[in-house]
Amino acid sequence: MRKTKITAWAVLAAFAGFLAVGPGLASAQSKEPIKVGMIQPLSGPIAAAGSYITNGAKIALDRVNAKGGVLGRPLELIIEDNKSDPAETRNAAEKLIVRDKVPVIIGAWGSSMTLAMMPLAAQHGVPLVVETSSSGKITDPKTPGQKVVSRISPTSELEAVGAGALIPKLGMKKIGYLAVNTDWGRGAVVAFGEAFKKNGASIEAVEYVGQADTDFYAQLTKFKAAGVDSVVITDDAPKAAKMLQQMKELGLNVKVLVTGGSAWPDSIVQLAGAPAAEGAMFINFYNPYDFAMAGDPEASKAYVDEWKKRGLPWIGIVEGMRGFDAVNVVAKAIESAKEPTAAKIHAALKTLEARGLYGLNKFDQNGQSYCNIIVTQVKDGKYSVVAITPSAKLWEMSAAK
Amino acid sequence: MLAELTQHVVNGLILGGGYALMGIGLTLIFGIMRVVNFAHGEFFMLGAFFLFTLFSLWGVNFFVASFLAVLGVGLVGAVVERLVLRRLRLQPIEIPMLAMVALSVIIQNAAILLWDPSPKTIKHVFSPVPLTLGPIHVVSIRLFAGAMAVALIVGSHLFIQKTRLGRAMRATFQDTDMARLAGVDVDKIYMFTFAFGAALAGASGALLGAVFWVYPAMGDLAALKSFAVVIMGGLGDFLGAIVGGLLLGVAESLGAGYISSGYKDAIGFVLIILLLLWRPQGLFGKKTVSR
Repeated sequence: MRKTKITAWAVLAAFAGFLAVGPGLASAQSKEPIKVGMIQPLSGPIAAAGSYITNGAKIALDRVNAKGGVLGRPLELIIEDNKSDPAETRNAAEKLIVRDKVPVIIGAWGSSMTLAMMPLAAQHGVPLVVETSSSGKITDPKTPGQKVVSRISPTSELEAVGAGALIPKLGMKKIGYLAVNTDWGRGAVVAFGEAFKKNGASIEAVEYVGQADTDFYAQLTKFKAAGVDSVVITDDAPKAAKMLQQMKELGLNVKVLVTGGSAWPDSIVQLAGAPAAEGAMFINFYNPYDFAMAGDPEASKAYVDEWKKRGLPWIGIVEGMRGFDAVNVVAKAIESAKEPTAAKIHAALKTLEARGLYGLNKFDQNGQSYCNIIVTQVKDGKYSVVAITPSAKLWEMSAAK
Repeated sequence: MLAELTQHVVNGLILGGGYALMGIGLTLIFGIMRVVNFAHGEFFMLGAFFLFTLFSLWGVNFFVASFLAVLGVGLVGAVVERLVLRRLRLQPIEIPMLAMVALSVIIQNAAILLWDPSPKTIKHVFSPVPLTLGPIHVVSIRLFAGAMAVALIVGSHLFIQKTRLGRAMRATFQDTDMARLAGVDVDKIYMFTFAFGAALAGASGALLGAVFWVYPAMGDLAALKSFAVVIMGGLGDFLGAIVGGLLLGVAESLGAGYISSGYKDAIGFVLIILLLLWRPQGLFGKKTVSR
């Protein structure tokens, strides 16, 4: 008898509570946030890069929402961790598409990771905004899933075009190439190989390294034996820094060029120390010291100021901008689509033009954008720009083709 | 030609010393305590992070910091044994194994939260200028790591063979009930053995963390290799773990140098498969039958 009485009161109380909250729930519908999916490596060997990009994305998100959001609603990022792994990327994409029902996904850092989720996204018609991956395969019409891709990061081929002309000036003749053993690294070797050949240099030796490797003595010893006069590296900043250090340790004192945009003078000087980093050159896509170089100087200044304000690691600022631009591109696409659905956003991306930190973000018939290609160098322990091929010029060149 | 070969072998031996340290720690825990320690890589990682915190963040003297880091990991190991493993001691082998898997995930993610995932360099006191022996280059920090690995291995061996505590450890794992009857505090021995194994992994982590760099996922590959080393050398065999570790280091270095660097991890494991096909009990293991 007593039990039934307590149950009855409990049910009544719950019902009353629901009545009180209910109307509130209904009015919240109109301000319901627009969900945007994001997949990044937040754990595993690439966790550092993933955290930089996520932070850059959050800076852009807060900026968009401070200005009133998109279509009068706040934007919300649903961030999934792909654990630096292609199989996990596919699982994360499945969760975002099927359970969270996001109309667009930003991701997934590594080329192998992005390639893994492309067929699934295409199957559901969900557009992908690719912020970092450089493998040419991603915007190749023959690759499954390419039709839903809009990529703001450059391909290795584009990097090679931007840096290729420098090669004879630098006296690089016999090159040792050290690349990470993923779609990114392998694609870069092919792309840069072409550029080197065109400019009178030859690749004497190509060695691959694992994503989680820390010791490159075996590969560098081989380069030494082969008598190379320069080393080209395609890998992220910590690995590149270690390679530079170990080159010095083994007595391999040659010219160095690091591709990919992750490594830049400030990060390498901090991770490898100024003596090992001196003279090394990098292919970058963003200059945090010169706002005018970016496609949107005002946004560039706002981004750098906010990055500093949040106390985020300075060495990650050139990677965070990828997340920043991606969110802004998505926001603009949703705004012009007038409806946050996958199909409308996909159509909006095709005709989108947005000035960003990369340069001019817009997409050719394969979904590829053309950004600034900046060659930087560590000179006297400090950041210096060697050459820049601006985004506008690259768009001109592609239109002329 | 010979210079290149010698450099590869020297590289391999130093790396192998690190593998051997991880291996002896695990052979004590896996081979003797019969705990499948999937968190071994995390003890390795904690050793590196403790050294980073003590030396790079708090400015403690490098050598004192190294010593304290190893002690710290040993303490963590003792706590883990006391709070987690002791309760599961009588359970079938899969239960503590699952607990260690969970612990591995917890510790790695705690590290991501406490120290953030960006890789950290330990700017140690050793000169980056290499010592040269003809065409062979070795940096002092690697020599230090190699020397310390040797010292710890020899020290551990002497400890287990010659001291009273070492004898008590061997007695406990040979026949627990007899050891109890002989007056050994079996609970304390279990705790100490696990802590000791964890501390050795922590030492390997601190040394290799100083040579390379420190990040939360650094224990994953190290753990995988230490299991391979222990199985290759024979479960529970001290000498087997040492030989296994050195062999793996040299095989990887030569494989990377002469066959393919992209697949150097695979080369080491292929060798282990071949070895086990020939000798399933490992190099020094004894043939046993489980009922």
